[in-house]
Amino acid sequence: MKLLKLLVVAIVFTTTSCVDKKAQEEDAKLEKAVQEIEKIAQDIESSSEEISEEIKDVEADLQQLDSIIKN
Amino acid sequence: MKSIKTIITVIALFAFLGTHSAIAQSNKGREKKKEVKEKKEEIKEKRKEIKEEKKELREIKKETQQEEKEERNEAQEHDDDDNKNAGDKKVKEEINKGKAYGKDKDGLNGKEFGHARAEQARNETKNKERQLSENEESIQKGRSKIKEAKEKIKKAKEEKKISDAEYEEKEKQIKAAENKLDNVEKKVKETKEKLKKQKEKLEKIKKDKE
Repeated sequence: MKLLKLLVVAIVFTTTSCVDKKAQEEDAKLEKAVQEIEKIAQDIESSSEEISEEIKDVEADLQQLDSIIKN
Repeated sequence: MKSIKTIITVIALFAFLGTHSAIAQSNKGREKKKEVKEKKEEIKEKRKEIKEEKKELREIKKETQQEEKEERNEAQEHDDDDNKNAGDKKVKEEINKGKAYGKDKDGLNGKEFGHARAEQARNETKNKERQLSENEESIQKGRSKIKEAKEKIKKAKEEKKISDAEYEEKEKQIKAAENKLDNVEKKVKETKEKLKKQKEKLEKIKKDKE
């Protein structure tokens, strides 16, 4: 009976550690994916900042074109 | 019977040893993860610093450009200036919102924190999409203005209202604006591709969560 108890405890321990390991792997996978996404987001943000600046520049040029059209 | 007991004891012992070694390995893994996380945070901070420096440089550049523009525009009066400034402010606010990206970690475990960051990125993606479509509209307007200006100078040249030199000068101006528009359009397209990629990744995370 004692041995059986011991066996049950051992099985429970093994199962728990396996589940914990799997959860950790999933967390790591998610973390990696989120980091990739954040990297792309940073990239997008800097690109859109550049675009906003360039659009402003282009708008200034277009104002000059307005005067050409009006004259 | 004795031999059965011995076998069971041996199995139980192996199971215990296996569990302990697994736990020890997972602890080592955690420590390594911690180290990697710390390093990543350091890199993030450095990136932030570099970004801020870049921002400062851009602001200086912007100021210089603005001064030049003001000088150029002194002779011209435009009614839609106020609206444009309001639009610029909006864009800036949206950009600044993104600076606090992924900072709020209080009370969330690893998985929840990851999903919260993904959600934040999802919202950010929507904002950027809106911003890009506004940019596309500006580009479209620019194209039609360029077309109109080209037709205008061509007509003026034909009717001899402007000299050849004037025509060439104006054509140069138009060409310069056209080139800038081409560059912006290219960048918008590239950014749209990045956004598409981003959306796919976020969709995958959402599916995994479900």
